[in-house]
Amino acid sequence: MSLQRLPDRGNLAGVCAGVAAELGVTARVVRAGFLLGALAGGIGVVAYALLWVLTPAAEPDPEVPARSPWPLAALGLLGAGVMTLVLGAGTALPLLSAGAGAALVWWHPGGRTDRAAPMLRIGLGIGLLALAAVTFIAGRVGMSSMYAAVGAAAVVLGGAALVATPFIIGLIRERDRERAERIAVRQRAEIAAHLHDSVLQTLSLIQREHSDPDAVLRLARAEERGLRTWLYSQAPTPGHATGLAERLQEVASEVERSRAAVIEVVTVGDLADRTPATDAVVAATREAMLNAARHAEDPQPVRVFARINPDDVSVFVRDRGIGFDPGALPDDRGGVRDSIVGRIARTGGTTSVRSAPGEGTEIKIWMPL
Amino acid sequence: MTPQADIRVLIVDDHALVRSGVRAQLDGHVDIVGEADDVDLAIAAVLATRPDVVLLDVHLPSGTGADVLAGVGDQAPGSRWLALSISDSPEDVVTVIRAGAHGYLTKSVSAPDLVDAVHRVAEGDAVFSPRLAGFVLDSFRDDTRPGPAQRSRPDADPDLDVLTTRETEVLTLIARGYTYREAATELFVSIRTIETHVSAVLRKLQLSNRRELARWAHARDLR
Repeated sequence: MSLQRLPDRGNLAGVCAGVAAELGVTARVVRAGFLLGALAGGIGVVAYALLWVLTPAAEPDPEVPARSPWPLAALGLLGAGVMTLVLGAGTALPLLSAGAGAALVWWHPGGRTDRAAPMLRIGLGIGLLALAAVTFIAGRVGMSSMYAAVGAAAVVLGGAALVATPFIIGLIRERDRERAERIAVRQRAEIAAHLHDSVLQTLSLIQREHSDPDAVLRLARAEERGLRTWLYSQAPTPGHATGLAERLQEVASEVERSRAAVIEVVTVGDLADRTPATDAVVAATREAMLNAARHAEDPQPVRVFARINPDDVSVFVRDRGIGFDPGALPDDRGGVRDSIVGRIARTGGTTSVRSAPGEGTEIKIWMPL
Repeated sequence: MTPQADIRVLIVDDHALVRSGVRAQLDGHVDIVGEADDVDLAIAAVLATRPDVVLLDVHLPSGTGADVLAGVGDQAPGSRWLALSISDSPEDVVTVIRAGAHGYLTKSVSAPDLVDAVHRVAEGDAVFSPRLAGFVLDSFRDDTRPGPAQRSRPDADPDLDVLTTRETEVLTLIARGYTYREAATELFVSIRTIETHVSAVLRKLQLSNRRELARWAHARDLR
């Protein structure tokens, strides 16, 4: 792992924390080193600034312990009081300002934060610190030489900024490019994973089952449906909360895989919420599909049509099988009674079966939402 | 349905396997006058053979089925078009229908249904698969009624933007997998009436200013 800043664990930009993590020592040691460097002619400050600019920040840790500003503020207040007693009243204001600035930089509310808030806080804190330094120095050397010094510093900083700008812009561009690349790689990996789980799997199954045309047909059809849904559905994100329409499609592919039948599902409208009522509709539709798949006659597909309105759902499951006389419900159709009619009635819906010998069967499920 | 061997059909598809499959399904029911596998060849073949029905693949290597329709324009007034595709994307459906196709079937259609559809299109009627019917019901739903801006347009015909109750009933039955004959029995009307309703819906699909349809068509510069 290369050197990374750890803004979540640091006091300012996380440089010391990052260096400490890289070297395997505690952050305190590194901070002391930078502080010594800062006292020795400012090398520490320059090194800190360079590392801040040049090293990338680590991904923010979602759970950051909160850091209260109050102990530091109290320390600053105490220091200001002592210094005022020692050096006179003129130093009180800059010291207070410096204390407030340090406290602001230190402060972290903890938990998840967006990027803008800490930036603002740290900027404000640094501003207060700078103000403290300027007023302190002005009080020592007098205003006129202070103006000269500030002017000279501004010219130097401006020049440095001018020189550094293209470099910094280059760094930002590079970072954006890398991010775009990372996203593209992730998408490619997702597509590859999906194809591997679905299409490749099915193709190898087909090779194994090549002597059984029925099985090959069933696998190919189910796979076709899955791929189609994945390609053309509005929200193909995996792991996304699936709506009722997609759940009916999924149930259809599952039934297709287990039975030698073709099931064509057409839906109008959709409903994202998952409720006991929609669960009952999906389960009952699955039973109806299984039932229809048992009685359908190839090559006529079982047709499922679902109309999903905001306040009710109607599902029609139709097969072109032998049909039966609904008046004389044979015992083997008991499955229809219990698993479809009963299930739907328990959640407040209704079911009706239309069938005639030789004309296939249509089961209608209606459910208020 | 009486077999009419004199319906002349042209097959446009870039896959030889699909062409021979379709040929086998239609064999003995129609007269196949030719095949074409790209946009330019298809346009030339339509103009040369003047078929009654063109079975049109939606995606071709050098363009789309809609490009073939645009290329022929009104030079073959006697030819009717039936789109045949493996794609279910609403954009593909709406594009080829708005370009002038009389129907849209997916390639998984059974042989008798395909023969039936070719005859129906040859007679000038529309062919709606259950999926196309569902798609039309979806895009003409009440909660997507055109906005005031569209309704106040002087050239907009409000009748084109909504389905009548009867048309909705017919489309719902087709989506449920009913044949035209079964739908006619169910609604106590003649098959001819069902065909009239479906053709009226086709016209709305081709001419409506509804937002969804217009948007998909616009994406392909078809307005």
